[in-house]
This record gives sequence, C-alpha cells and structure tokens, in this order.
Amino acid sequence: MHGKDVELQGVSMVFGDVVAVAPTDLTIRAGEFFSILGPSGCGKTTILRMISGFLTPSAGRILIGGEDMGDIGPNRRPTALIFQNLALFPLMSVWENIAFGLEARGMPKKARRERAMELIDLVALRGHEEKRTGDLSGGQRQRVAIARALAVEPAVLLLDEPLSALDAKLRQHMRAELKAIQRKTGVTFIYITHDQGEALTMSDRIAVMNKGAVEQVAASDRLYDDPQTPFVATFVGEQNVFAGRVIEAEAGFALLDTPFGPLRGRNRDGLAAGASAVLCVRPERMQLVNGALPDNVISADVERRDLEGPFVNLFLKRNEESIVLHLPNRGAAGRELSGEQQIGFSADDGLVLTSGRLARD
Amino acid sequence: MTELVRSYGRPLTAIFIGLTTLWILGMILVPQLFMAERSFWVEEKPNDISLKIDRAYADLSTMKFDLARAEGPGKDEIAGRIEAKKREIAGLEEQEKQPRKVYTMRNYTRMSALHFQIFLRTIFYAAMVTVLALVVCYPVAYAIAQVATPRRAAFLMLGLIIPYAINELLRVYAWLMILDYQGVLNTMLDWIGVTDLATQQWIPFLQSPGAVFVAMVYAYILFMVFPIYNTLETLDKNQVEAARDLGASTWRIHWRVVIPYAKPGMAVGCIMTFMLSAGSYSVPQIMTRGTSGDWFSQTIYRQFFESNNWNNGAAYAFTLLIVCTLFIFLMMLVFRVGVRDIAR
Amino acid sequence: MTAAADAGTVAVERAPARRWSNQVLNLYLVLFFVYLFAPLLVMSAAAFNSYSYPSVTQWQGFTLKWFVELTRDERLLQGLWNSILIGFGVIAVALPLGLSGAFILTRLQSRWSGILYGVLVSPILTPGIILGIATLIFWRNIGVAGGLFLAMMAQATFIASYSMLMFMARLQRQDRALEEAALDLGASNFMVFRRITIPFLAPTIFTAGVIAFLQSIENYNTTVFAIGGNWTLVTEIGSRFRFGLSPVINVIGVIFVALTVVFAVIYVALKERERRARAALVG
Ligand SMILES: Nc1ncnc2c1ncn2[C@@H]1O[C@H](COP(=O)(O)OP(=O)(O)OP(=O)(O)O)[C@@H](O)[C@H]1O
Ligand SMILES: [Mg+2]
Repeated sequence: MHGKDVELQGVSMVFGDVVAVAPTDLTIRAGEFFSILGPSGCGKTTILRMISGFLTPSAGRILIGGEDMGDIGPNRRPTALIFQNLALFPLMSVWENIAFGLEARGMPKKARRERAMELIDLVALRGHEEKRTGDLSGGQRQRVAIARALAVEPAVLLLDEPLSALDAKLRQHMRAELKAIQRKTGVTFIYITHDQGEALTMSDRIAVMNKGAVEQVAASDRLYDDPQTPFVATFVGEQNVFAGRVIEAEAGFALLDTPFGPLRGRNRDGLAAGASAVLCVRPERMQLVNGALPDNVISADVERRDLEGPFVNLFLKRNEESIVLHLPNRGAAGRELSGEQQIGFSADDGLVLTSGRLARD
Repeated sequence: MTELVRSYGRPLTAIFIGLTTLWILGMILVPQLFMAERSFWVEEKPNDISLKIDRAYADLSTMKFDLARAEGPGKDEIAGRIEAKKREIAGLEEQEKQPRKVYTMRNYTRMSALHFQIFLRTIFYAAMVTVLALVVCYPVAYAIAQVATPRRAAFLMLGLIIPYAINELLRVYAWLMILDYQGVLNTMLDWIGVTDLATQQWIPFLQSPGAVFVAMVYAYILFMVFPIYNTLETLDKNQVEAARDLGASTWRIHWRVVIPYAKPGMAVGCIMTFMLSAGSYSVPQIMTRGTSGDWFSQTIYRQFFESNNWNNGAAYAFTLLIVCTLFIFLMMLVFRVGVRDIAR
Repeated sequence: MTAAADAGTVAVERAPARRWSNQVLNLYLVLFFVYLFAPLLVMSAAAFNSYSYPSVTQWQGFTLKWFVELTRDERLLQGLWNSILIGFGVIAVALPLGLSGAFILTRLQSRWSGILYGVLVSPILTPGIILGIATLIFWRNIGVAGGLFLAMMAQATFIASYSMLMFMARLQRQDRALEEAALDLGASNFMVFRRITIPFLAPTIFTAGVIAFLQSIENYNTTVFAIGGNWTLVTEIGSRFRFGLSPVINVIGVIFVALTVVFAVIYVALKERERRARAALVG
C-alpha cells in the first residue's frame, strides 16, 4: 500500500441555494495525515463525499494521484471512506464485513478469508471474526470499519469523525492506533473532525474550515501560533480578543486602541494606522503583574477561579469585557486572589489581525 | 432518473422501470381505459336494415310469383333477377349479423329509473356505513393506541386482527345466520313472544336493505380501525398528558389534539370503508342469498353475466369508479391531507 | 423511571375523572369485541349441529359429519386447489411488481414521483369489482376469456400495491450509508443490490409473500368477475348461498377461524417480541 496525493481545483458544492462548499483549492500530499477541522455544518462531510465520489462537485476538478476523477464512480476510485456512523453491514459477520471489498473484486473465498484474518490481526480483533457486528463494543466496531476500509488497499483513506461515538478514554487510545496504522501503511489519511485536540495531536497538516471555505492550511504549531484569520485564531485553542483600531504601526508592531486602553502586538500583516483590527492573546501567555512591567498592562477585577488540575483558569472582567488567564497551579499561593488585579503580556505574544468573524460569533 | 441509475445501475433500473411500466400500463391504466372506452359505444344494427330485408323478401316472393306465370325469354330474365335478389338478401343478412360500433353516451343516459335508484341507494348506504364506522371505531382506535398498556394493546390488536383476517364471506354469513327467518334474532324474539316461529310469523329482516347495511358495517368496520390506530399510535402520549395538565376537558383534548392528529388515518379509513361498501358484491349477494339485485354491484354483475350487455356494465362500473374517485378527493378536502398521506 | 413516576402522580391527582372515563371506555371496548366475536361464534357453532340447515337455534345434537362431508365435496376441494394455484401465481407476479415500484419510488427525485405514487396505490383504492371488470374487458380484446389466469392477473393488480407499500416502509428504514459503504469498497450496483439490499428486504419479502397469498385466497369481489366458468374456494362458497347452503360452509368457517387464530397469535407474538427487543435496546 502506498498513498496518493489528492488535489482539489476550484471545487465547490451548492445544494439549492445553500453553498455547502465555496470554491476551494487544496492539495493533500501522498502519505500525509491530513485533517479537516471545522464547526458542525461547515462542509467537511461534503468535501469528503466529493472526494469519494458520492457527490459530484458543482464546479471544479478533483485529482487523485494526478488522475482526474470526473467520470469515475465511487466504486472505482482508489479511496475508502469510513462513515460518520461506520455503516457496518449488520447482516454479515466481522470477517465478511472486512472481506466485502475483496469479494467485490472477485477474490475467491479462501483467499478472502486469509486476507481478512491478516487485517483482523492488524486491528487486534482476533477471536471476534465470526461475530455479528451488532455484538461488538464501540471500539471494536470502529476497528472493523478501519479494517474493512484497509482491506481494499486504498491509496487514500477518508475518515469522517470516526471517533466521535467513542468515550473519551477509548478515543485517546484509538487516536494512537490510527496514527500507528497510518505510519505502517503509508496511506494518505484525510481525517475529518470538529475536535481540535484530535486534529492537533494526529495530523501532519490541518485545514480549518468555516462556512464552506478553507481559512487556513498549516501544521499544528503554525496553526496555533500563527493563525491567519480571527476565526482560526479563536477556533483553535482559547484566545483573549481585544477589538479596536490601529493607532500606530512601526517596526513590525501595531498599537491598538481597545476598551482596556492602548495595547501592542505583532503586526504580521502590516496593518496601517486607522485599520479596524483585533488583538489576540492566548490565556497561557498572560501573567499577573508583579515587579517588572511587561509591554502591555491591563487592570481588571477577578471574577472566578476554576481549578483544572495542573493549571488554573482565572476569569477577570472590566466594563463587560472578560479576560481569561491560564496560570500554573502553585498551590495555596494563588487561592486568595480577588479584587482588582494588574495583568500583562509581552507584545510578542499578541497578534494583530484584521477584524473579521470569530469562532464564537 | 440519474438517481435511480446511480443507486441500482443500468440493468436493474431498466428491469424495475420495465416491470413498473407493465404494471401501470398493462394492469392498471389500459384495462381501465378499455373499460371506459367500452362504456362509450353500443353495437348498433343499422336500423333500416331489417326493413330492407323484409322488403327484399317481399320483392322476392313477387318475383317468384311472376316467374311461375312468365313464359319464354322473360322467364330467364326473371330467374336472373331472382338470383340477384337472393345475393342482395344474403348480403343484407350478413350486415345484420355484423353490427356497427357507434360511439354514444347512451349507456349512461339510458340508465333505467330502477337502476338509478339502486345506484343512489348504494351510494347512500355506503356513505352511512362510512360515517357509522368512523364514529364507532374512533374510540376503539384511541383506546388501543393511547390508553392501553403495551401488553394489553397487543392483546386487543389480536382481537381485531382475528375477525379482520377471517374471510369476508364468512363474516357476512355469520350475520345471515343471525338475521335469517329462523335465525338467532327471530328465535330470541320468539322467546319473549314477539314472533312465533311455529306459525311462520317471523320478522323478515333479510328482505330489508337494512340487513345488507348491518352486515356491511360488520364486514368493513375494521378497515376503519387500523388506519386510525396506525396514526394514533405515533401520537406522543405526553402531548395528551400536557393538554390534560393545562386543564383541557376530555372533549377539548380530542377536538384540538387527538382528532387533528388522526386526520390522515381517518381519511384513509373513510376512503377504504366507502370504497369497499359501494363496490361490495359479496355482502348483498350473501344477505339476499343471490336472489335480489338491490345493490349496484349486483346490477353490474347482471349486465355482464345475465343480460350479456357488457357495454352497459362497463358504463355502470365506470360510474362507480368515478364516484369512488370523487369520494377520495372529497376526503382529501375534508381532512386536508395529501396523496402521500393516503395508503400509508 | 421518572417518567413513569410522573405519570403516576398525574393519575393520582385526576383519579376520579379519569377512572370514570376509563371505565366507560373499557365497557365500550367490551361491547365492541362482543359485537366482533359473537357472530363468528354463532357461525362456528352451527358446524357441529346435525340439523342439515345451518342453524344454532334448532339444535339437533352434536356431530362431526359435516367435516366428513367437506372432505367428499369435490367442487370445494377443486376450488381450494384453484385458489392455491392462483395464490402462487399472485406471489410470482405481485412481488416483483411491488418491489420494482418500491425501488423506483424510494429513489426517484422528480415532480412526477407524487403522481407515480398515486397511480401505483390506486388499485388499493379502486373497488375490487372494477379491477375484475377492467381485467376481463381488457383481456377479452386479446382473446383471453375469464378463468384462473385472469383472476390471478386481476388480483395481482392490487396485491402488488400492498406489497409495494410494505417494501417502501422497509426501504425507508434502510440506512443509505450501507449501500454507499458497499459501493465505496468497490462493489458494483448489482452486488450492492444482491448483498445489501435484498438481504435487508428478505424478511419483508417473506411477509409480503404470505400476505399476498392470503389476500389472494380470500378475495371474492375481484375474482368473481374474472374467474369465468371456473371457480375458487371462495367463489364456490359464494355460489352455495344460492343453491345448496349447508353446514359444510360453517365447517369451512370453523377451519378459517382456527387457522386465523393460530396465524394471528403467531403474528402478534412476533411483533410483541420485536417491540420488547426494541424497548430493551432503547433502555
Ligand atoms: N444533500 C444535501 N442537500 C442539501 N443541503 C445539504 C446536503 N448535504 C449537506 N447539506 C448542507 O451543507 C452544509 C454542510 O454540510 P456537511 O454535512 O458537509 O457539514 P459537516 O461539516 O460535515 O457537519 P457535521 O460536523 O455536523 O457533520 C450544511 O449546511 C448542510 O445542511
Ligand atoms: Mg459531517
């Protein structure tokens, strides 16, 4: 098995007057673990169904391994899809499910079964091969779906939120397993999720979608530290957002006039004075001010303190605007915090972006 | 279409479309069109033809008479004329045997007063059966679908399914035995002294159309229960609870919540009951023991198999079909339901 | 659990009014079921009366002789055989038609599908005698006279509609993703049909076959017009009312009642089991 690359050229999908996917260009490299991340209803499944051939794009071309898939039906594409609800065949046993694709290719029964058993070993289901899929646990059903898809030796494996039905612990475990299987097989994985933790930990690259459009494609670190749009900035991880107008811009930094007073951050996009903008700061990059003053200082009132274990969420408020800080848990020292506090952050940790839609809007 | 090919592939789609087309054309539409077509013509003997034949025979006998008295060359000439006349007669008689097909509304307009009366009575009784069945069945369907516990409902359903599944003829027959001259009802009346079977002073229930009516209600009432039950079964019990908690009276709950919800089922039940009653041949046939023809279906049967007048029969059948179709539209209007809700 | 408890409190609060209306409803149900079953009991009882005219009131002693009589009745037995032949014919014709219609209607996305649906269910809403008459007139033009074949065709016209509705109900519960998953794994449309769709429909095909057969055997109004000079069990029973009414007909009634009770009990028991299984799944 080896992966192929997938290329979307100006692909869009319109249902009636709903634009499910706006014209999109996207290149997924062979053998890559590629995730598509976005809120519910943003068009993730639609993209996947176009790649697998169940939907014909309203416009644009899809190429797999350089070959145009225009006239090729889902049953002749080198892709395999793992459905959001798995879609295991309820009337067949586990091994028959896994061998179904081989049956479709006319492989004789004995060979089919042998190959199915290899895959059963790969996904650690030995001993369950004769069971009906209805008698399996959620995680086991998940593995059957993966084995069934891998049995046809696809060049591209498409996974539609495959772990969403599992409990948190099993999900953790399956993440590792999926990643291992992807390494071992070298198949291109296109993985859909609206769980950013999942996307960030597993993927080589991630595409973030919003309302049918891809807003950014990048590796996890870049996505987190260098978001391109306010949506990506706020959808991936938590963010304190200060909206305002650029007062001055110089030497890669911009000064914003915000409800908390003037604040300075990186002006990566070179915004000029007068532009309406947002300043984004991660909660963990903000500190309580004691001693040396950082570039930006804000005062706000402590409202609440939530213990997360290793760190503490500190919520502050001023003029109906709230701010959250992630502080390391230092035991009794931080417990008595209350009243007005000075908090601050370095200009390097603030990112100034042209204002636009946020994830929480 | 593309959706079909995508789902089943070309060969299977072709088979499905082929079979469905055969069904629609060969079994549903074209036969009914043939029936309708047949109702619009009569076989007409050209009306002057028997006159012509009579006249030709009269001519022939005159000629034969002439021939007997004729002499010499005139005789051969007359003989020739006689031969020609005979051929003419043969031709005319052949024509008389092959009547012309004339398109006309006569099969409809010539319906006798008696038949028309039977027709009206049939429709009237069918409507009565429908109304009565609706009134009787609604509480039953409601009780089973909404009030009974699941176990009990299953048991009650069994009680409905058994009589429903027993042959229509036998169900009607049961009523024949009750209403017969020396049947159960007359015997019971005998016990209390109203009738006297020994002197044949019984009440002739079977001779009144009421007997057919009673048996018909019995035969088709369950066609009303099941559709209403099926819709009411899906009504969320909490909805009724909620209405009750808001203080609505029982009547109000039914009027505002349950009945509106049951409408599609009621429409289907009414359509089925009416259609079955109006078109029932079995019930009148058995209740009258095949003797009288007081029901429209029997009149139609007689047109086909006793008067051998298929065109007339076709016209009557087509009339019945139209009435039933109109009834369907009427019910869709009354209950405000669409085609898709019907026969669900 | 909480729902049941809530319902309990409501019932207690409004107990008097509720109990009263429930009593009325129960009484009504009892009367209704008496109405349904009493005539059947009367009819069945007469099968065991040795009086030669069907009656329960002129009781002349218990007998089984009418059962013996039935086994000697050539015409009725021949009619039964004809009914069975027609029944199998109807299965063979109506099921493929019903399946085709259901496959098309569940997938056709067109303005016409509403009309098509209307046409395909119309035989159910058409009086049975009209189906018989239309079939008779149509085939006469091709030179086929009334008989077993026409009875079968006329019955299949509407029985196919019933099967179609059953298949549609089942197909609507099918998860489309299963078909797509099979296609995605490289199956041809035909293989999807053979390995996924048909196995999914199999129980319904069986039920629809049984119901089609029963509907065919029971049919009178359509058959009586299309059967010509031949006869089925039911048309023969129908003609007995005119000539030769005897308790043999009641014997047939008893047999029908007995068979129906057995089948209905099995049917309801299966349904009940299915319901419990579903309830157990839900929680
Ligand atoms: N067959 C269809 N017809 C009409 N609209 C559709 C169809 N399929 C999807 N849509 C619409 O397209 C949009 C994108 O749907 P899609 O299923 O791709 O979302 P998604 O990102 O997968 O969401 P989720 O995370 O909830 O699965 C939605 O607004 C949806 O309502
Ligand atoms: Mg989705």
